[in-house]
Amino acid sequence: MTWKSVCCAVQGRGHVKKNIPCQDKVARREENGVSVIALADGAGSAQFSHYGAQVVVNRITAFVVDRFFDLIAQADGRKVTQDILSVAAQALTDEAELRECELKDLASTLLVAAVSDEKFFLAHLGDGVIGYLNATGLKIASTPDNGEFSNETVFITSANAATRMRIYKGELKSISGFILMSDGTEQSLYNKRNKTLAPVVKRLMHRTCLVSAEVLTPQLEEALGVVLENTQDDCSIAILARTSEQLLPLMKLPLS
Amino acid sequence: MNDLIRRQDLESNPMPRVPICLCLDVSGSMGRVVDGQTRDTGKREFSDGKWWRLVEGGITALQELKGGVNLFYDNLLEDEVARYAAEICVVTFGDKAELVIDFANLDRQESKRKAKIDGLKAQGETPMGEAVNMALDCLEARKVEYKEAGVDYYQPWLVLMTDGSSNGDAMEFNRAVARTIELANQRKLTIFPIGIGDKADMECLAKFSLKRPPLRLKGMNFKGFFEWLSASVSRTSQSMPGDKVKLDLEGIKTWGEL
Repeated sequence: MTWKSVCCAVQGRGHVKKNIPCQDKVARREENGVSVIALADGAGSAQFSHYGAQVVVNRITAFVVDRFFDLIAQADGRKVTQDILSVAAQALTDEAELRECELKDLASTLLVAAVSDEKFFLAHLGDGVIGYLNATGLKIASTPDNGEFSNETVFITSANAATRMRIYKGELKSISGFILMSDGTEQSLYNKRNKTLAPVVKRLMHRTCLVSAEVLTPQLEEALGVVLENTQDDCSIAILARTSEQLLPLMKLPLS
Repeated sequence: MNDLIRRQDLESNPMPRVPICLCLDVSGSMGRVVDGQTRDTGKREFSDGKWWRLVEGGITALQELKGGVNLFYDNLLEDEVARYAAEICVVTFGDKAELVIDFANLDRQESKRKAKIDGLKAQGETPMGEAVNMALDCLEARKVEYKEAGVDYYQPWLVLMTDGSSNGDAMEFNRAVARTIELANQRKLTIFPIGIGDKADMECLAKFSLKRPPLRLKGMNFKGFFEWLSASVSRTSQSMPGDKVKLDLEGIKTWGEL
């Protein structure tokens, strides 16, 4: 079954008030039979973090479609972490030269999900959530890393990024959907106490399977307007999904 | 708006909290008159280490402090984000260290808040160490409750205000100083030590805050201080990861001085 993806980011009310651009950036790519989605949330007071977040998701998605099987085959997780962070850091270094700024001005978090050949790879640095859907329902793959306080997290440019990055890989089996969300979206689509995803996530994954990204993207941006009311922060989301017993294809949907 | 995500689909996560403890001197000297017309009764009283002339009328330092605290609450209640994010605890030190108002949502505190603040009396000595320890205990207990309930929170604040010097138990004072220094060094606490009037022992206050010197209130400008504090809370409650919430240093000059 073919994987389909969609992603979008919308500017938060707090950012509109302070005249700060949307610092959440997303990207999706499909090449060589590999499908990948990525999301990065620029650091609040980092002047150019919206640029940093954009170059990171662009560069990382290109890297992962190219090197997916090497990443999966690598037994040493530290090497995988180093590779991911090196690519991200190089992206930021290039951007820092272009903008004549410091690396820390481009700081962002990073969330990645990639699938191919019945295997998956995930990477997570900072806050936000990675979730998935399998035969038994919606699950959490990776929870937010906020440290003790709400306005703290770890960024690609943080000294301890390598020890705080989390990576996962495995066989897809019955997994038919992945979702990445930034902390702004997390406020609405993730229950922090129970560590569960809002049931509506399944609807979003299903719609991803049934509707083209070109049609779904503006619908999703509009839908995130409801989520924006629940936070001052930017909100972004990226979904990777395929039809399954949980996400029925059109011809199998019951007639209403 | 399309039907892809509806309001009833959203999870109801509590807003991240900003816990603030006000640790306030209500010793006998806070009953001194700082403004207004007075009439000498002819009586004298020994309190808080000195003799006082008892007068009628006038406005006391404690009344000015109460006005400021009530203004702090009122400002936060008017802020659409801070109203639900800020949580205030009030500990006083006079006769003894006392927990006057425990942490709770501002709306829940509202029905009894004014009565509790207006009911504060200036009496007793200055057991500052005992009060700071009590304030730190309240902050720690509240953090445990947040963690158990899955509620996110910002770095706690401790506001310490005195017009004199600590004259409580020395061991309690030293323990309070050691605790605040360690928490501040670990970036787990922000402390604002504030001196009231020209008799405030700034060296005593400085022991609690090695990185930021204590400030002395200009005159009795409690209102200026609490306006500044409520604006600072508001900014913090809207901050996001990576935001450096800097203190409004220019604003400090309107109410405080080194």
